[in-house]
Amino acid sequence: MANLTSSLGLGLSGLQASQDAMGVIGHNIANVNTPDYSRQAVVLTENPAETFGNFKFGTGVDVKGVTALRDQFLNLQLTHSLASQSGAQARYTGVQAVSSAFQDDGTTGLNTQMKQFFDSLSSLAANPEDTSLRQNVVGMSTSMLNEFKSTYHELSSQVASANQQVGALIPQINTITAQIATLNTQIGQQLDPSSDNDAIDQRQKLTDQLAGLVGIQVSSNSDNQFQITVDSGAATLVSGTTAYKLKASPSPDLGNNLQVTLASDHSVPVDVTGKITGGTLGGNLALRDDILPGYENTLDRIAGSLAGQVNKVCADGYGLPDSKGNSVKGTLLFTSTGVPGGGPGLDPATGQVAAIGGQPGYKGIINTLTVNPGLTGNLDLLAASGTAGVAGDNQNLLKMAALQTANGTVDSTGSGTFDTGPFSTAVSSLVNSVGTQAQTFNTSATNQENLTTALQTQKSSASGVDLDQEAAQLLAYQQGYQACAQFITTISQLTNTLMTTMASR
Amino acid sequence: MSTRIASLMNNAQSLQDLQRIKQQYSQSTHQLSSGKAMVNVGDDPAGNAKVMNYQSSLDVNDKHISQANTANSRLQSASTALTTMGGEINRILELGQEGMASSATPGSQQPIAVEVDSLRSDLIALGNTQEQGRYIFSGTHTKKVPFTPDGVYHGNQGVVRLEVGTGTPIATNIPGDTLFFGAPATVQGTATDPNADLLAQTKALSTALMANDPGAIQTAYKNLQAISDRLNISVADLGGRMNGITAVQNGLDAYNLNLKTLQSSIASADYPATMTQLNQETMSQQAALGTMAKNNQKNLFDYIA
Repeated sequence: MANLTSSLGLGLSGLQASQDAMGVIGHNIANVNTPDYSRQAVVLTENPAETFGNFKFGTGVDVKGVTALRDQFLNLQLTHSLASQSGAQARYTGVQAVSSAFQDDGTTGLNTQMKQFFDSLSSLAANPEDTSLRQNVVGMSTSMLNEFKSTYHELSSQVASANQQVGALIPQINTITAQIATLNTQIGQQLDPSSDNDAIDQRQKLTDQLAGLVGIQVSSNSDNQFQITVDSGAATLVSGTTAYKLKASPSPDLGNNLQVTLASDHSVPVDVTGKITGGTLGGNLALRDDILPGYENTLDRIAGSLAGQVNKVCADGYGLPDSKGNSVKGTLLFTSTGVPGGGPGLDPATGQVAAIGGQPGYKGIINTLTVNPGLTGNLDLLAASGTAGVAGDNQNLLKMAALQTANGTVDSTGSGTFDTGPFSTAVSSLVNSVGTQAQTFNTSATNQENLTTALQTQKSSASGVDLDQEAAQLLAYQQGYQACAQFITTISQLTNTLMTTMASR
Repeated sequence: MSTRIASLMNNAQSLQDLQRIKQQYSQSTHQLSSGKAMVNVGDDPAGNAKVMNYQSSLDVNDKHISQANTANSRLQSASTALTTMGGEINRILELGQEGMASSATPGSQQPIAVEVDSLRSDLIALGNTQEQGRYIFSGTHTKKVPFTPDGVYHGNQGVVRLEVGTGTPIATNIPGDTLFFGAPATVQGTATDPNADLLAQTKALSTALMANDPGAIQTAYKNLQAISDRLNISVADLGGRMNGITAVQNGLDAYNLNLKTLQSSIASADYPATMTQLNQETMSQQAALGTMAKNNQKNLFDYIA
């Protein structure tokens, strides 16, 4: 049976429990705007009863712990969604950045410049002996090459930008993985590894940040420590209390772009460059190594094919006759300059794309293309005529101009087979590819954003702080606290009464 | 079942919705101000490809129209020269008839012969007609004077063709030897058939008139009549070519109009539709802003006094 003294203990346990609960509520209210904060709640349980004779009397309330209300499955889904979203967003941003270079407004743009080039050939075909129109062909050829180079430069700049981003992301990723490993240590050291709610929340927040930077897979071990690998599973970033650092270093195999490696347990770096798809890092690697080089290759093949096809016709033509009636045969319109040994370029003799390793060396050829300097110095050399010694013949020019609408002029695969055309269609297809990919990545990023928002809403519904609920609970615990205090006051009065009675005897 | 709505949720959702509305609003504004339905290549890749393909067809058609204009101008120059030549030859034939008249005397024949010589010089000058610094009757030797005063041809049989349609080359010249000799010249630049040589027969008429040789006058007259008929055929040939080019131009103009209409239907902003959409977006934006302002204005703490 409870006596007055033990009754004071009962009231005291209620006061302490209410105080603890209100403390947790205060913590929740303070973190109402903290991202990734999981609402906490006290776990109250009644104290064991004491037996007096045949009866058991309760001994009050006890705080068993403080739990956080979180859904680990939702967290995993959210991590995955964040990685996909940022990966698609990075890809969209990169493609969108170069898409303006492919826009054709009738005054600039690849198709407009090609049209003006072919128009200049047609104009000269009407007056093959006109020097100013020959100059016009040289001018339009130069403008067209400049447009190709300018577009190519936009792509190369974006590749360089993606490469820089790869370099900039690595230290951020290493910092976060190190912090996660530290939190893993802190969490694992607890007697109950699920008790350090704030550390677990912080770790989740860092994991979400990490997923935004690099695609990851997350799992937990028996000590509630995260195991994190890159999304392909090819390498481990965090294993319990250890974080493995990513490293970016220039690689000749990647054209001196950064190769991403990961130090493993055995100190043998694992190349993960092509094994990350999600996150900003995955997006930038895909842009740098796959998407943008694809556009560059297509552009190289169109420009190389165009130069080769025009040169092929030039090789059979004749320039204007000199005063003795002699005309020079086969002056090429396009040549390559500054070609390092073994690099891409046009064969000086044939004007065709020189082979590298048995295949036409298109890669990077755009930057080597120029209008034949010999021709710019002597416009009479332009191979307009199909017959030697004739000033007014335009047969070769007509053949060159006809390339504008001819099929089988573009080597779309880079194999040396001219399997598609006309040139304008090849450019349109490339622009269409850029547009379609921009649209696809935008749609993908939007879809992932929607999914992320839905998951965040679900997570917030389960774990977020609702001020109304906190206020209601605060009221409940406040009342409980007041009641316990009143109870203690009552017991105190009873004790005083008893003491006064005993003293008066 | 009730769903817990955490205090942060509403604002986060509303903010995302507002950002999307603003993005759509910006897109609509850009469309209206630029007049273009597609602001970026990713807005409508398939539509953009169609627009570019239409533009390629328009470019090629424009080039052919331009070439057709040049070809017409060339043929017009040749036609004008040939029409003038026809007038000169008619005058020569008139003078030949005067020379054949029974009342003709050696004294009256001489001034006629002088005029015939003068007309022959005019014919040579017409044969050496230039357009933009190029001789139009010298084949493709456009820098060489086609006819010397002695009637020798220095041009060639080259034909200058221009493409007025894909795979549709049109000859824009008549070589001078075909015109004056009726056939390709010999290597020496003379006619293979002297009777068909306009300049030689004009000279023969003049010589016969000077000599007052009725037989020779009649022979030259008959040959010149045949040459005149041949030139008329050439004039008709040029007219036919010009008509053909005009028909091609008209066809290309009509085709271009059609292409531009199709292109515009995809590439140009649909103002009524875009304006309506902009109004909707404005309303949505105002509603979203109003909702966000109201969100979480009050909670239970406001009522605990």
